[in-house]
Amino acid sequence: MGNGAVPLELGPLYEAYADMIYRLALVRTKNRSDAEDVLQDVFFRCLRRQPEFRDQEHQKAWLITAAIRSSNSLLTRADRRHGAGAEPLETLSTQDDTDDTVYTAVMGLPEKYRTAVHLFYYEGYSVEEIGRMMDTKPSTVKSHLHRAREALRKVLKEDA
Amino acid sequence: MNRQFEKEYTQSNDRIHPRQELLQELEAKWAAEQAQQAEQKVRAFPTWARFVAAAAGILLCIGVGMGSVMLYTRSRGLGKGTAVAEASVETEGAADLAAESLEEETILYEAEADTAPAATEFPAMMLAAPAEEAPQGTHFALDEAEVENAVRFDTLREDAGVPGAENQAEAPLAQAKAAGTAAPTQLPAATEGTAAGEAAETAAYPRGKVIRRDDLYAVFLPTLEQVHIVEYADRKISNLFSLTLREKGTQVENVFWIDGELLALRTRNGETELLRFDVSDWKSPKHLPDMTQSGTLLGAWEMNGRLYILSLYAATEEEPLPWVNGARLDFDRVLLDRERPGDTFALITVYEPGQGDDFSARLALLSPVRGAVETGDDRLLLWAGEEKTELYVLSLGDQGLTLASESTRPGTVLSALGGEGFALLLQNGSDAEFLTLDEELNETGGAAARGVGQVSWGQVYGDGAAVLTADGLHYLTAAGDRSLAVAGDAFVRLTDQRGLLLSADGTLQLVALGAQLEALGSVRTRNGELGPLPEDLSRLAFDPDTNRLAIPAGQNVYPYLIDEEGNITLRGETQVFYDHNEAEQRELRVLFVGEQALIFHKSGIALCNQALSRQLTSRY
Repeated sequence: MGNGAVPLELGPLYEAYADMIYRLALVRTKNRSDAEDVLQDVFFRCLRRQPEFRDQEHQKAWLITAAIRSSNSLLTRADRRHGAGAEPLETLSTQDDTDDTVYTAVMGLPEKYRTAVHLFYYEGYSVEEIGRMMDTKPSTVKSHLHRAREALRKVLKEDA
Repeated sequence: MNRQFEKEYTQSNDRIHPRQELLQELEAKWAAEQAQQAEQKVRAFPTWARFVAAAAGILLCIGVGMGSVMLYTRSRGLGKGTAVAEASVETEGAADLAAESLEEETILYEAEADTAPAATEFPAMMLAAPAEEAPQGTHFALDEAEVENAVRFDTLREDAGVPGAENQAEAPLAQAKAAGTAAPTQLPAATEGTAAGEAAETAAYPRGKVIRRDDLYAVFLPTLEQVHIVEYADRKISNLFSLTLREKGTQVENVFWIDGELLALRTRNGETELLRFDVSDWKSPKHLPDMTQSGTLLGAWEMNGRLYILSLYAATEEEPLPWVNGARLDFDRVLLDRERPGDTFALITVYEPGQGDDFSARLALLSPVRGAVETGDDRLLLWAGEEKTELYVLSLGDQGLTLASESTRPGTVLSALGGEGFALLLQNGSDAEFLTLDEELNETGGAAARGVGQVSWGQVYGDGAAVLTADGLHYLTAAGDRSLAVAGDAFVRLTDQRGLLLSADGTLQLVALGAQLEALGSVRTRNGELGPLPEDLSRLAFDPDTNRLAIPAGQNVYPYLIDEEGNITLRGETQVFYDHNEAEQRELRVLFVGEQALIFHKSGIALCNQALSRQLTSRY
């Protein structure tokens, strides 16, 4: 950090981005405890490095990319420990009558598809932007989204 | 489905929040970490203080011997000396912890790794401070032809997906990345016996490299073994960081810049070394402990923030199995046929910057791998064998490195490209064959040029492959073989549809590839008035939108313009290189950036106007 920029602090950073990172991490890890670990890792990494951000969008994209990286590492470690993927996420603790069928269907997708779906449909990023965040080609993201839609269509049709 | 799906998915997500107590927990952890860091800072003794303490200790001894009255005062220096010793012990303890961490992270070999030394201060001799003021010098006298945008293709790549690399992707750079990252890795020509033209395409032996990160450019000049990180913003350049690796001995072969770490790879004494430099803070870069693995470097790839390193290891009686950081790979972890004759391993390791000293050996193939290419879908195709080609597809996903499929084909691989599946160019007897395969290695298409003899150069371009043989240039696609009766000794891809051919008679030709394979236009370059023969076509910069070329040759950069008919016209020449005494060590690269051009050369970096006719500023 330089140029007299205001140092980043945990409180405001948490206030602004905790929900976003936690939701993304949960989609990737399917585990609340792991998602919290990712959240902590991303924030601490950001606070340690104090990167300079051009604007809010830049900051958000940085954090998302860091969350993807962090969850990649965590998933790899989890795989080493358990020899399999993370334990499945329990159902969302619904406090109202909202139907979580769609969310559950998304969580049933392979990890790469879930990430692409989440960033595209929830965070509203373009295929190109997602490609940059995931360090993959836009055509691969498109392909993931296409396959995810196909799978979701099938699952949701069966549920209906 | 989309709108309803989006609505319901959003509603579900909006109800998800982290635990309320989490913020307090994080604040407590963060405070604890900061306190620990502060404590470590107090413990860490600066180098100058060690000298002071040592000197004080010596003085103390003298004082004791002389029975000096100053004994009491200087004995306080001994106190400092003792503190240094304690600090050193604690530092070693931290290194042990780092080694333990390495052990935890290692899954495929017994963790007997040497204790990793703690991060050291960056050697002052290796770090050149950026010059405050650049010397003047104008060596340009060209016309004012317009160049708006261009790419240098060779190994230029834009690093996306890295924190700080968001919102990038000028189209030409993205295009260059596609070409650069998909370029296959081959053994050097001398080792493998392939055509000289292929060596220029290797990922393991790049002839220079420019990595872009926002407004920053890391430029690797291999002959000089220098890495410069340059900021180009608001039409100004500044050299943030320069690193010379020459003191280390053997030549660095490739450089990566991942997550705040500058990573250099080289082979020394039959081992592959990874040199690591923490450059997340320009003002205090650190040399992190080097890492090693057995075998000579064959290739390296950056994917998903990780660096994959492939080395080739010939086993001996003393060292029957490959190793990483001194720890042998468990034979149970070696894949493929253990009864197979031969003793060459391909060792693949994974390093993740920013995650400590994790340098995990993930896989060893008991097979002399000759090359590799990645796809955008976390797959790596390796090929091995001499009489026939063994193909292996590895999955590089988050779940580790696993063998996904394998197959054999007749012939030897000349070139390969990864995309949705894989495309291969093979020499099979006197035939050149182009094949497309899916990720399970099932053949999905292909074509062959029969009886063309030895291929002197070949390159896959996605939908086809260009092949140069004694009877001319061929372009193979799934639809068949097109040929053009020209002979040359080098060929460089410019875009998907056009190529630049340097013929044996010294003619530089623009060639339309694909179904209408034909020569569009040409210029005689060898010993002609229009300019010298380019020494290395892989160094040229090209803008496919404005049809402008910049070819570094000798002491100069030659800007060419390709007109609508495909005629290539030299638009002048410009001298940008000054050091005549060390011409053999020159590095000259041109990178078009927006409306301007950066020229990297031995003596520094020059920022020029878009026509290369005027030097705007320079840094040394």
